[in-house]
Amino acid sequence: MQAQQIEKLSLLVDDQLDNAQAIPLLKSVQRDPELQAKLQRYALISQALKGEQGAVADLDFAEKLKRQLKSEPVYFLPRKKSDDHFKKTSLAVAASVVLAVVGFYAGKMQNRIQPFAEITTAAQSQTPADQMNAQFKDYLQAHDNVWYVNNNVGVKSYARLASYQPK
Amino acid sequence: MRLLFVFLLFISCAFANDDQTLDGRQWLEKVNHAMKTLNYHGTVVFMKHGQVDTMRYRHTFESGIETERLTSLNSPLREVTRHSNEISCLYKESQQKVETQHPIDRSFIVNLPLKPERLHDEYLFAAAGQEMIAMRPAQIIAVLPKDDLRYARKLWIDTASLLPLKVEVYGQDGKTLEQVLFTELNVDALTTQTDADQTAADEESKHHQHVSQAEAFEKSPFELKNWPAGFEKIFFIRNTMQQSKKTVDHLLISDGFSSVSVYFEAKGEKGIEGLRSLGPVNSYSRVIDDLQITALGEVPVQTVELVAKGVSLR
Amino acid sequence: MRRVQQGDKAAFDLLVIKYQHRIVHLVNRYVKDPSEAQDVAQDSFIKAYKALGDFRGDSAFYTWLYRIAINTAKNYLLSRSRRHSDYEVDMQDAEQIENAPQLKDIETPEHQLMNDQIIAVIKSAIEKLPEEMRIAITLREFEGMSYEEIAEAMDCPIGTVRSRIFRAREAIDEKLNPLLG
Repeated sequence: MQAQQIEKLSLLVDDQLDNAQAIPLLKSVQRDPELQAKLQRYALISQALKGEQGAVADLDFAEKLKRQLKSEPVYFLPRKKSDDHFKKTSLAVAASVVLAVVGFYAGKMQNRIQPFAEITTAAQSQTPADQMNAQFKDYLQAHDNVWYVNNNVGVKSYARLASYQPK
Repeated sequence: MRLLFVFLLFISCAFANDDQTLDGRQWLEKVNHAMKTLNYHGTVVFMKHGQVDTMRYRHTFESGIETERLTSLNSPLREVTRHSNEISCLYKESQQKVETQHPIDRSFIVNLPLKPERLHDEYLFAAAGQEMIAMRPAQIIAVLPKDDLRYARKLWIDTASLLPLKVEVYGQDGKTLEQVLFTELNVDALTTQTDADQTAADEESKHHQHVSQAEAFEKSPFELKNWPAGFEKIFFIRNTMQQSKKTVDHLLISDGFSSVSVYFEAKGEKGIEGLRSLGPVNSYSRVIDDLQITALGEVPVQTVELVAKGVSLR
Repeated sequence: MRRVQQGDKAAFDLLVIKYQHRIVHLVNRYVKDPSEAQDVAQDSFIKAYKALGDFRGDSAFYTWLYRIAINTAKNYLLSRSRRHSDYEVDMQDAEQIENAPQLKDIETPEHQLMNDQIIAVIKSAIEKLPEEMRIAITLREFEGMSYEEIAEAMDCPIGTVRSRIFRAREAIDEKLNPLLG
């Protein structure tokens, strides 16, 4: 642990560190058990000074969460900012509205993640999270033929298929 | 959720067109019939499972058999065809083809219950005004669940052809989970049919499903004890998964709008447990002894959990 | 945050490290059990991750995360109360559960003892601090003043405030570390 890092840790706890410095520091904390323990003790000190019951995250809290999130499918993010709420749509019925949804979504979707792309890529390795995603994909395929409509992962996923279902 | 339901009910009544003679349920019945029996084509935008795709769409109905074809406009170029319950997906760039069968017919656009009146206790069907979609006047039909075990929907129905122009599925927070939208729609001339053909077509559409290679629910070694009211057992099959090639027992229940599949397979080295989500689709997995059980469907999280936890061996 | 919303899980991991102790502490105020607070806090972060698409940037991220954590803790209390039939709390209003005296205090005696020891050590260490360091850390932690406000209150540069607060923490930590080691 470097003295400079510990000093920055003190600033981080007080939200006095800008992102440019905070991000590398957080990455260091992620890698360094001593820094993690130091951060935990700083949190305890803060709580005790406030006269409150001490409750801090366990040292393996972030790691446990990271493992849990690894097995989560990638979600459809982000949603469009001005949501077409059910209520608003109902209220708009008096007016004639031509919805330029295609253009709207095309603009919003540029940076979207493609969940099936990630699931398919992951399926090539053997981690439990990958197995879960591969199984989810299999089940979805069997559940709903519309899956084929939206599976724009590409040829690679199907190149691995040895045969097709007999009629 | 209850407040949203009451508010929507108020809105739908307030904006109901006085000139309408059809209620929401009647509209749905007509849409179902039109979707299955007309020939039409257009361009559709799908926002499903976290992705957006624009595709050319064609629907034909000949000799009592429905065919849908979707052709993508963007890479990877693919053509997905449904001929009754047979699905094929051709990837044009690689010439790879996938063919499969589903035990029941499922539309690419929207699935509707054959008899909406059966769901009177589970949904409110309301005519909720009109809008223009793809430059065509459309009647809005709101499908509002009366419990929190299913999603709300809206359909925009072309008043001329009674075909759906737009469908939206909403989460319990009112946010849009899924959308299917025609940006253009053209109805083709009907092909000439004999009376015999028409009778056969009527019979097929009544049955609504083509169940092949499926068995009665009761033949399944597993029992479902809990599921939401309004859902019916549809089929039980032994299925081979496309990717993993594993053999999996597959039960499906549906209320006409949404379906829940329940899968049973041997647990792997490590069982998979818990919830997973992708857009409106949720799944819940649990392990019983050496068995992996998963309930998956386009229903809220609590529904798949309810179904999965109610599974037991006969 | 933009990186996190674009599906950068690594970026989210850093946010977890930054806010984990605050969230556990916040949640513990409701659940009153530090070990259960860990689980509820984990759930809060998972819910936040799933809801990232809804974060509109119109409030500070921590405020948004804070609200998710509170709701998660309250829902947890509601479900916990449902499992214990001898509780006579109105289940309709989670707010009431927060203040319900009937809820059992499930803190273990061992943990309370440890907590008391930690507080005692910290208090003793504070009392031994030089005055300017003690004032600086107290104004920061107890009064919640910003560095700028502390600088004004103590009539010194902000850099000096930073240094005093840091040295105060280090002095207290020197006494605390062996206890937790």
